[in-house]
Amino acid sequence: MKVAKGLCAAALISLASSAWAERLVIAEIPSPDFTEAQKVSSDEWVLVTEISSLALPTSASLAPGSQRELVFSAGGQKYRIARADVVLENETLVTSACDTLALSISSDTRSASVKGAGESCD
Amino acid sequence: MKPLEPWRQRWSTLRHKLWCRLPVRYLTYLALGAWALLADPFTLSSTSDRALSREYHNFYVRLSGVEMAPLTVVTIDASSIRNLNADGSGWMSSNDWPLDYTDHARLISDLTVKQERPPASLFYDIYFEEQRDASGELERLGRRLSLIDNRGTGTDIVLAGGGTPMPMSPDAYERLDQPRLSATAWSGHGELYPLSAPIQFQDSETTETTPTPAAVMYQALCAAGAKECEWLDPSSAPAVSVHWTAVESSECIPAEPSSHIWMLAKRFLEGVLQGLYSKAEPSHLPAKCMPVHIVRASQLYGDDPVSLVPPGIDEDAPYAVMVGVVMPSTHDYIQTPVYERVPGVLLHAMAFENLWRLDDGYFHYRNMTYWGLLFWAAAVLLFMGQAERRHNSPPRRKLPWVLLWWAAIAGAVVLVQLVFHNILRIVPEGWLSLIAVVPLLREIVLRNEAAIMKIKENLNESR
Repeated sequence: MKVAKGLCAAALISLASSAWAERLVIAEIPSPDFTEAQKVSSDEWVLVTEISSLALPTSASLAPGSQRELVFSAGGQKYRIARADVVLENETLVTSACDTLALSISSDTRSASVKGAGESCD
Repeated sequence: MKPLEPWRQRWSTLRHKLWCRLPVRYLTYLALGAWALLADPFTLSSTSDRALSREYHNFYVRLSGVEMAPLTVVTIDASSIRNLNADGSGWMSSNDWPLDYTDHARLISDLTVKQERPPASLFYDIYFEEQRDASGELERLGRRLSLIDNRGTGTDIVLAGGGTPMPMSPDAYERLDQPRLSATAWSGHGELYPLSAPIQFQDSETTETTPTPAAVMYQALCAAGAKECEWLDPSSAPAVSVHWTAVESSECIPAEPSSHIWMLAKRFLEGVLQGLYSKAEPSHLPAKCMPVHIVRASQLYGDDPVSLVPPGIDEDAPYAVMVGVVMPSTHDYIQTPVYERVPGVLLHAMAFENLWRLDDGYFHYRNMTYWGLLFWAAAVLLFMGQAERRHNSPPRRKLPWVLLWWAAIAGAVVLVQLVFHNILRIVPEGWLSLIAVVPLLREIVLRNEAAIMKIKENLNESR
């Protein structure tokens, strides 16, 4: 019985933490005059400056089935916006993964393959 | 007596009679030179011309540094993508190339409307050949481009438009809302950089000639008031023989005379003795010596971002931006004489730098084959006259004379190249083969003519 309670508690904590992980906060929209959002109900595109009820920061979540779009609510409407178009709270950028970039490659470099996956930075 | 003997004797007599005629000999010598100069046997002539131009180019670049051009090249490289994605906690939604279209839209916005001092023109050297479903919707990028364009932000955005070797999908062009395109692929120009080239759409025979990116950027800066460039008509201007230059710095072109002389001497020795260094080629300059401001995409973000404005340009002076991919696995690399193989966007950048620095005096190709032939025709006449005057041509036995003759040819080659390159600003082709045939003037023309004179004298005496 104790084991079953423990498993249930672990499952609830796990669900709660995953729900918490998807709660995001849009802190800024860098170029609002040029950025569009899409109404979820009608698929209509609008400029974010035309969403008068939008006040930042605002909470958002990842769009279902997508890692590249967010959904936020404003004035009773739900909107989709590209992840690239917003700045999230606690957003981080790695700045020291590769310090230098080799611009040129040797004259006798030969390659007979097509890019299919990521490459390392060395 | 053999049956063919009379015919053989007749043929021998005829041959001697013909060979004693001056016009016949002159035409034979001319044909010999014309074969070497015009026929380009096994491409030996054109290859040696290009090799000489490349080597001279390497020395000329090291003679003095140039100033930075008002151009920034932003590189999209693998580590920049990873840095901006930051395992999903950065703004870039893609973690590898190719990027999502919304990432391109953000990058273009940040390089234009987000800048306090936006560039006069931005060339985005990414070719959107087709709608790629895994990258999102191309229309979203098209709408962003239209918004930036319609709201008069002052930046003229130009996208890579491919060319006749790789036509663009008309569907992609419509989805992008008919952006301004510039030809980025061409054929028929060899190693030269044309100032205009045709672009074409798939399943269409019609082509439209557009200026290439270097010409577009140059004209954009002129329109922004940087200088006058009415001389430039891209459709008729000759193609640029891109001159790869370097900035003055201790790692590139040192200002101190002692370092400078040592660098030139070292480069000369490496070039002359390169065969002794196994496969190693003479040293190349590092790509960071290029006279353009090169910034990695990730350096524009973070707590201490790098400025997009090229360092050293006047306040309020217009500048241009080119964005390109730097990733060996994309295979977008070109061979250069000075910097080994560099990403394709730097070819556009250096062609722009050439236009900016030299204006209508930029280096261009000139076929000098017929001038070479004319020189050969005159030289043969001169040596035939010399043979008639001297009546003999003994082989040279003294080593100093042989070396002097060799040095004279080498000196003449350098001198002629110097006149072509530095004064006329042309990259000649079709004249270096003269070096191969000039020794024939003495070894064949002079000797042969002297021998003919002796035969004639003997004939006269026997009569």
